[in-house]
Amino acid sequence: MTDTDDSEITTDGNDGAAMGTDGNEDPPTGDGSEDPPTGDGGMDATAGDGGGNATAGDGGGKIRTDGGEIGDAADAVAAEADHDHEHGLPPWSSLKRWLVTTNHKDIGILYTIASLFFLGIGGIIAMVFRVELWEPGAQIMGAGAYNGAVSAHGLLMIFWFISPFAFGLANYVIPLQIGADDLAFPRLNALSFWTYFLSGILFLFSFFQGGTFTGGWTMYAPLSIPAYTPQIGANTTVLALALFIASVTVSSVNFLTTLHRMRAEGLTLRKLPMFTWSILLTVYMMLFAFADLLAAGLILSSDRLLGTTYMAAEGGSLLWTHLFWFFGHPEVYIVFFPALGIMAETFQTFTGRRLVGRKWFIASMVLVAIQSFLVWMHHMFLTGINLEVKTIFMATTIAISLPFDLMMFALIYTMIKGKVRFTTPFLFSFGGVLLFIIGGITGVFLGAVILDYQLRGTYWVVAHFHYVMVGGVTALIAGLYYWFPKMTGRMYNRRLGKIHFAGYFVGFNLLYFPLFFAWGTPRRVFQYAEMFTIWHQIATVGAFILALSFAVMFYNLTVSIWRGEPADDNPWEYATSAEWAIPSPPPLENFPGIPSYADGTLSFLDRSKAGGVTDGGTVTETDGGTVSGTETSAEPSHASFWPLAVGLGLFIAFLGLGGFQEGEWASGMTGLFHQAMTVLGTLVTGGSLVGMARERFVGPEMPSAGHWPFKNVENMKLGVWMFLASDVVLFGAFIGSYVFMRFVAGWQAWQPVPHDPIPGLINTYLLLTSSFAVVLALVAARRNSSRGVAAALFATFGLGAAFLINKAIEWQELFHEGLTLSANIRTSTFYLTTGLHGAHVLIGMLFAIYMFFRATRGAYLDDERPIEYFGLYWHFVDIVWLFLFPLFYIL
Amino acid sequence: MAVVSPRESPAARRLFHPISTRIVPLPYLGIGLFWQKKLSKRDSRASVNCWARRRTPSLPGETTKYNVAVTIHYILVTMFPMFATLVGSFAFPTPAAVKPPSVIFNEIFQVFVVLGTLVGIVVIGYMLWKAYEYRAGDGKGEGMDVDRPSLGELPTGGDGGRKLFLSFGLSTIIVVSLIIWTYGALLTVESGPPAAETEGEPVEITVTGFQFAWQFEYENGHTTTGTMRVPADRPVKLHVTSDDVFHNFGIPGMSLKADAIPGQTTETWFVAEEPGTHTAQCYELCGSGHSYMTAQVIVMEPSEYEEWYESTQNETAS
Repeated sequence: MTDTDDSEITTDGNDGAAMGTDGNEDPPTGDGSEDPPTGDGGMDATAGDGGGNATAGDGGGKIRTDGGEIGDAADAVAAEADHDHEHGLPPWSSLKRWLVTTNHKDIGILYTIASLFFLGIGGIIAMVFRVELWEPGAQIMGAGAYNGAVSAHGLLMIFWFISPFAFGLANYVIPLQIGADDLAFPRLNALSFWTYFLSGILFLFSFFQGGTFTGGWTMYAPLSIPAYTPQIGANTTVLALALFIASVTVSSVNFLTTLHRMRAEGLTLRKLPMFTWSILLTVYMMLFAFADLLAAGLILSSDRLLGTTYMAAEGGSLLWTHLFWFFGHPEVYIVFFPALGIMAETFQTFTGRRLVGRKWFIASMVLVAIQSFLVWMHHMFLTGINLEVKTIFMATTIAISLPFDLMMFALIYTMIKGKVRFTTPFLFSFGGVLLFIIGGITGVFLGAVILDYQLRGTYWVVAHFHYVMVGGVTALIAGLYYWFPKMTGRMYNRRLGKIHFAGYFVGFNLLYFPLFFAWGTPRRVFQYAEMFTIWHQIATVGAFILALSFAVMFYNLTVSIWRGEPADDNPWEYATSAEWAIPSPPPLENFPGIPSYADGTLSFLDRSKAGGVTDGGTVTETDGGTVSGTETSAEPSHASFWPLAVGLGLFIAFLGLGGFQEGEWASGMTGLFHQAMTVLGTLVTGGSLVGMARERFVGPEMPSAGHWPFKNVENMKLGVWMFLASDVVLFGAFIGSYVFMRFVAGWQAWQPVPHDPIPGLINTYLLLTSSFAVVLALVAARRNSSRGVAAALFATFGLGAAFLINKAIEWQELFHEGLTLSANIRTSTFYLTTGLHGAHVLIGMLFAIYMFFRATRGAYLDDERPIEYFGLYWHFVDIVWLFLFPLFYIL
Repeated sequence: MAVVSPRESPAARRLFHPISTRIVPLPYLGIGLFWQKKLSKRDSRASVNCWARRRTPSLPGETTKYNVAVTIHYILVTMFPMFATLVGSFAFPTPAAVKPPSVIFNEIFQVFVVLGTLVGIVVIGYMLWKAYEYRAGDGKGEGMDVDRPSLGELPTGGDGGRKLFLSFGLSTIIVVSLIIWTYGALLTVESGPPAAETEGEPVEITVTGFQFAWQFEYENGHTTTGTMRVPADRPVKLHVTSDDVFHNFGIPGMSLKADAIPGQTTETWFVAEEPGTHTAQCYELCGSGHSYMTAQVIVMEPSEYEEWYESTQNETAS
């Protein structure tokens, strides 16, 4: 049998057992898979001859390849080590590999493990306060510790556990499902992980800095300002959250670019697998929702660190609720959608039926994603907003529950005429749907405003959201079990999996159902009415059972990695998506050929015959590094040290910044420590960013891919546009905050802070000219004039500098008159909003001066795209100023 | 927050008018008809007048089930006017019997609980039954000749959309009707205490929350902290605000709750039907004393209340 060319295909030398050599399918490994393939259910690859039929069969199919062999899972690990080493990546057993990897599969595993770590901490905190709630009154904790515990539990679970857990699975599976070699920007992917993980560590640090944040995960104002929450740990909490948001934004840009530009040929958006669809919508929501949270977090940070007066001013409380819940509601769908995608996938696989009403299911998900931004005031029904507004939001809230009805019914009806197998993933998925239905019904109660008037702030809300959110977690656990064989090449212990489910389901319901009966308990109290005691006690028992079941899971999965039965490529009958057509675990480059759905079903094309590109060279996508685009196809890179370095730098800098409160550093040694950390962190971050830009890193290439609707927008450009979209929301939230506060104070009565608009006008001209300079730089690059490029870039830098100097002079004069940041709400909004814009200008200038130095050495003449992308950013910054100038100087 | 009482609100009257309640279900009927035509067209190539008829049933018994489902759908839709009119009369009681918000809340809550439990049992029961019925090994699905998913295929949906639409339509009708019903009650509560002639002049109290207690100020300027005295059988109007952070004032026994936001005032009202003592609590995390931020609400006989109120007036006057 021919062992064809491509060294990129992992073969383990075990040709005898490689599939396709003699036409037989791989014998099932023991009864390792829960569903032994039926007689014709195996997967054949006919190697070498490029032919072979793809049969649409009952549970099996032949995947056509024209040039590769698919190795046997059992020896994959050994081959993996050598193979990875060829690509510059140390083997799995070395720590270094995990620190420098940029491969999506490794990062997926890192996310999964890190998120389970935070689950453990958040869960232990919960068990502590459930013990506290055994009886009314203080038992084992003081009030401050209790408030800190409930706040930390919420923050850890929502931010540092549940979404990253979903994204661990997404990182691993999405490129496999769409046929990509990796995400669009592998180093940014690694950067996302490290900033996420280190932001979580930073949050844990806050416990040791005078106590963590104690105002609830919702951080209502003005409880959140130093006057009421003075500890440094609270600063650290908000900064950790800001760092986390940076991670999320980078991740969303990455996924959006990947999903729009790196799909296999023939895989249109409509034909995406359900998990991929759910992640696509999740990252869209994330991009916009987290930008708003960033605005809220920056405003809160500014109040805490710089002493601005947003939250203390009249209307500040309500401003915070608007900002927070505009993020908060999409957030709960961000949390739930990946689970929904997993429910759809596992229902299809384990019932052996295609999803009923698939296109309506997708339409419902899209509807919910859009509507999620239109319901936020249902968290504010009691804040004194007027009846008309309440009616609108009641209507939109009820409207958003309806697509969920359709989706749940679709899942249930998929079972009809199916062959339902109660494997561990399906048990969890089915259980998740069941729990979500209960949670959803109780949510309708909250949507009826008249009932919300009573249920607000009580344990009804707590029980409701735990049912829906942890119902989502249930489905995510299903996903973990479902893809565990793929990720590790081993099967988990099926008996322990079912024991886990039994304990989990019993514990879950014992914990949360009694809370409906105890709904009269106010939230976040430890002193409650005697009559609720029995319910709280049952809940505490349930919590411990739930926790024990997790212990079973951790044991099962950990031991199975080393001692589980080796798993097939496809241990699940009726699974359809591409990740099941490759070995478990997949080799570094994922596929034996280029995946293509062009003829209606999955096939792998010979890599060397990458079709339809220019003479001899493929367009190499870079990751922001220095590889020029016209080089011939280069080996993709898989490792980089810089993401970790940047993450560490940011961690240290934010740790340091926490010591700056209300305009001054903390006193004594603490203050010195924080200052030192800030300086060190900034230097490390800056240096690492330069290092990252200078690094020669080759990203994944997709010679033929589905691109709609961004066919002519190349990856980097699409990434920049996505980032700018989130920046629009960021500024929108800041401007909205200004408008809101101004309305509350009386629009006409509010005097603009600057006395006359002339400095602002000058700044406008400076910026407009600098935009023109960037255009000139682009023209010069196209005309091959390196001096022109350098001059124009320097002009941009210089005009930006002039802008900032002018602004500094203006601010100095205002400070002299006593119009400081903390003076009043007018100055707070002025300085913070224009200051945020100024920070954007500063960052642009850093880019400009870096590019200037590169231009003096002749860069950008062959490939002027970086200048174009920089131009996009710079023009955006200018356009924002065109809004800020009239708002703050003239009106 | 000036809202016209529903008895005077022309818009509300129009909503529950006998004619409008017959017009409202028409869109549902229209949608149902449209889908039936569309689905039956798909089934049979040359459909002439198929409404509730399928040319090619796939399994014995399917047609009957389908027809039964359609019939139920139509019955519910045509009964909507009756349902709505019934509800309308409930939401707009005759002037003599104004229900206090606590009674309204309890009634609505109980209906929701009953309906919610019913729906939950039906849906979850159905789910469990189907999972059992079609289990692998020896379930109904084993012998069926159904096209099953295969590895590497491009996703397409399964069939069975008809059931999906019926269920979806039914759940929509239930949920939307429920909300419209509660909306009437919301209007009643939002319109504030009933007019003075029917129940007596409302007692107005300003409630101010601060870390970590409640202060009450009466119309005559008298202030107490930690205890609120109100008369039975008379509406009490509360103006709630905060001195420092975000609190929430709630009296569970009276089904009353209002956010206490610094810098603004929210309004709510209640009627206590019998004398007694209730506890008010704080329902928004406000700091380390949040769990203990309670107050007593003493409902007194009207005459006793008058005496007490007079005595406070003497104090403040002197």
